[in-house]
Amino acid sequence: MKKILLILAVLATAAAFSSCKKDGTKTVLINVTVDESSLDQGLVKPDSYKVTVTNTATTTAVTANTENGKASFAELVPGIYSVEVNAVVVSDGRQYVYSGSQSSVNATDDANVAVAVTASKESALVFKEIYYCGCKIGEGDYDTYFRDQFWEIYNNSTETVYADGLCLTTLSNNYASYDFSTIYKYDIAEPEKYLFVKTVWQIPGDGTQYPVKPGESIVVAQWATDHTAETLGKSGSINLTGADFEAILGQTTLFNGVVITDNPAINMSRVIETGYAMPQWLVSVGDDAIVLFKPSKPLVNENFIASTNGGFTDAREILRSDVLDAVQWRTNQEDGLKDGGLFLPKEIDAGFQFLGATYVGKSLSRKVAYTREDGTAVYQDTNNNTNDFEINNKPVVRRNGAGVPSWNTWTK
Amino acid sequence: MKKLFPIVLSLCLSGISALAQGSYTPQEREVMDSRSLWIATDNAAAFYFSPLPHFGLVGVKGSRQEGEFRPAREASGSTSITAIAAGDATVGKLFLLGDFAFRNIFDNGCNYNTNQYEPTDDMPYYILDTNPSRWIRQEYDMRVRASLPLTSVLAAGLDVHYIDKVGAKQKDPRSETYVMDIDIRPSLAWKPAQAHLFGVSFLFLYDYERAYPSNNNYRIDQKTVCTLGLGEVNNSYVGGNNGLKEYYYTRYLYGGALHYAYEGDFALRAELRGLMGSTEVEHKKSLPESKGRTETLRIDASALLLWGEKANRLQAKAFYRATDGIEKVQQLDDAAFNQQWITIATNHMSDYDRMEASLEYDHLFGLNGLSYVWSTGGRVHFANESDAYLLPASSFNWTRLGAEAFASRRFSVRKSSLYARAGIGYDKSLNGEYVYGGVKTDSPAIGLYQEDIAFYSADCAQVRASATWSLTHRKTCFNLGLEGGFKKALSGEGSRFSAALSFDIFF
Repeated sequence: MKKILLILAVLATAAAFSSCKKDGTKTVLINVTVDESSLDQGLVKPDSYKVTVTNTATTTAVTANTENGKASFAELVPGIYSVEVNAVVVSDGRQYVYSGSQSSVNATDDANVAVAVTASKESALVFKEIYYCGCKIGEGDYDTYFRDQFWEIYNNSTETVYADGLCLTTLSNNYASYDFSTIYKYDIAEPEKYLFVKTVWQIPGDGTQYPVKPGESIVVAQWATDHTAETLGKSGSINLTGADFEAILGQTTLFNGVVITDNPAINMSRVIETGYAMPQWLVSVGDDAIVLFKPSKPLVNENFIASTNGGFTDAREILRSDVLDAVQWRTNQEDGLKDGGLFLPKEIDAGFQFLGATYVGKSLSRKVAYTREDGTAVYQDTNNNTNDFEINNKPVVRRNGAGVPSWNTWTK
Repeated sequence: MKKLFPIVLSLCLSGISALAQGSYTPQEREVMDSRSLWIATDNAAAFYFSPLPHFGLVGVKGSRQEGEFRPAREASGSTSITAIAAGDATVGKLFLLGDFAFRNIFDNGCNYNTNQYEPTDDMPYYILDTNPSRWIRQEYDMRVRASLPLTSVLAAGLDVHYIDKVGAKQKDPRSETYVMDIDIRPSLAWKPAQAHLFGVSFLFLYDYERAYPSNNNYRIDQKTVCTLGLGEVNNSYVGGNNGLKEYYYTRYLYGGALHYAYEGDFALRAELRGLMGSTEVEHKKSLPESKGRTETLRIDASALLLWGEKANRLQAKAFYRATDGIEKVQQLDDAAFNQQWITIATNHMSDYDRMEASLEYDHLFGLNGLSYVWSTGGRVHFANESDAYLLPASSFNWTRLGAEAFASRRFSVRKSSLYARAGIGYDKSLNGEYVYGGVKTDSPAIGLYQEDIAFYSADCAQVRASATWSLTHRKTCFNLGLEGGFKKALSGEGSRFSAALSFDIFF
């Protein structure tokens, strides 16, 4: 009996030691406050920011959304953390990206971190594919066709945007003389804030009629018909009956007997025309720039501005800050490389494309930067056409499987 | 430490050079060891009061284990060749007991370990890769125990154990690892009365391991992880200028034990031992960075009871080990000419607790001195592991209960004898669960713990048998031994067999 008691006592001693254990490690609290003091007063502020704190040793990250500009992270392992703050706001067709970060935050005890955010303005809508150069319909020099021009605009963001009120315009008419020897100047205060245009076509709508979801695109055609018909562009052209909008005012019969039909695509409005009005919208097949913008103030189709050093047409000024996206092209590369040879100011776009010829049936399409988990493509947008676009031998509508807006019921 | 080797070796082999009083068969050796009150304790001093019969031993053994029923980091197949020498001697009043072993080990199918010579359950900080590989290991294992009377009732003792190990992983990312381990236990034994003995011993252990990972194919960096415990890892790689470099493990353990023995109508020996210490894990001596530290507390208790002229033996053992995993938060101070990692916080992040207990009984029939006709016995054992990673919360727990029965018989064949032993056992898993609570669900360390919990959660049965043929000639006993064992999972899959062939000489 004594022997058994002795053995049990030994075991009990061992069990008693098991209770003399160290408490677990302490945890820490990180409070993050978003500092918006450096943001412009007129900017749309996000309702909430996504805050991510990452332990730099273990790379374990925790995410939370702010409430009233603050986010708290409790029960974290003490350590060194990096803090990132992000938010995206889409407004008036623009995407505003807010971001800020703080590295090497010492969180070995509770920590309070203020992260200053800055904002960058990006366009949710970008030109995805443009076809401007026309095609050949025969062997003769004049066997050319140019009515199949189209502009595909893509929602590159993660939020739905509305196409209502979007405007398209081109710059070649009011930029310079035909040989680019004279760059036109306009009589307006702070002319560096503006672009000067002849014609503006606008998508109608009350602001909510034409939603474009992420991954969807809208196709604006000069004329939304099947241009592969033998009487039109033939096989070298493209079928645009699925376009969403067409830049015509209605059915028109041209002087040469060609009937510009009014198709199921929604007719755009020509809200600005400073010179001779054409029944449809013809864009230069050789050298031009197309601009997508959302006017911040109503466009007035009168009281135009005249150039002070030449030019045959008056111009309407549009704010550069209203520009969502723009693409420019020259026929020949060397022309675009000359001083003054490009239509767009560098802050809107620093590059250009060139096809080397006209009526070659080729299109420009934006490169895919990456594909989201849901399969939608995100296109490259570095504000440099040279880098962002590539040349295709044939135009394709909604290349890479871009989505069709739900209100387009006529696209097969 | 290298100078210590020849000194210790000569002490170990002094038993061989000393004139043995007589040779012993393996059965007699077994009785000598199992009925010794002190051979399995820390108290070398007590040998003065309970001396062992003099013996000498040299031998060689080859063994092979193979099978998938094993912990995840154990080799799928292992071949070892061991040369051993042991003996004791009395030089004046000084009693010496020593042994030496050289082991050459060839492992194949090793996984989840890049840099550790011998992974243990309570060392969470190492490099892990998922390229199954061969390992080649060598060990030089030397121990000497000395006992010297100070007075007629007081003796002093010293127990020194030195191990040198070297290992090399044979596939990228490969490591060369060197281990040196020295364990010193001074002791005192006091026998105030004929029947009672009291003892005390102290322990100092120093263990040092250096492992250098590298790639034979330097063009391809090898992905690895630096483990933190229970599946939590930091991604890393071996190769290039910025890949992982050498790891250093430095361990200090301190402790002591109390002993009591009674010898009268029956014999009783009790031992209570406590150890505590820490292991520091460091990366790259040129810019030392802490990879973690473990702090260990261990309590051992054992009792041995012999009665009926020592024909009956009852032994109880128990131990409890608690290890804490400590991670350090460090920042690099990149001041010119004084770059260093500065520790700004330490966090206790994980616990590794184990408890084991066993009770064993055997009876020797026809016991005559050190020889008996046959024996039988049984053993029950209990083990529990309870590990936790605190943030994010992960756990690894298992409990097992097992029982084993064994019997042995000696057969005389002219001048030789055959000693046969067989045993069967059954282990039951009472519970087993691994939960990973982190976000790195693709961590390769998770696979390690999943395989381990499958092993520890499986019921299994095992059989063992051995036969040793002994021939005694002119006070020298030649022994040829054959062992075999087979363990099979009863719930789940896998089995493992072992076999060994040995030849030794007792003199």
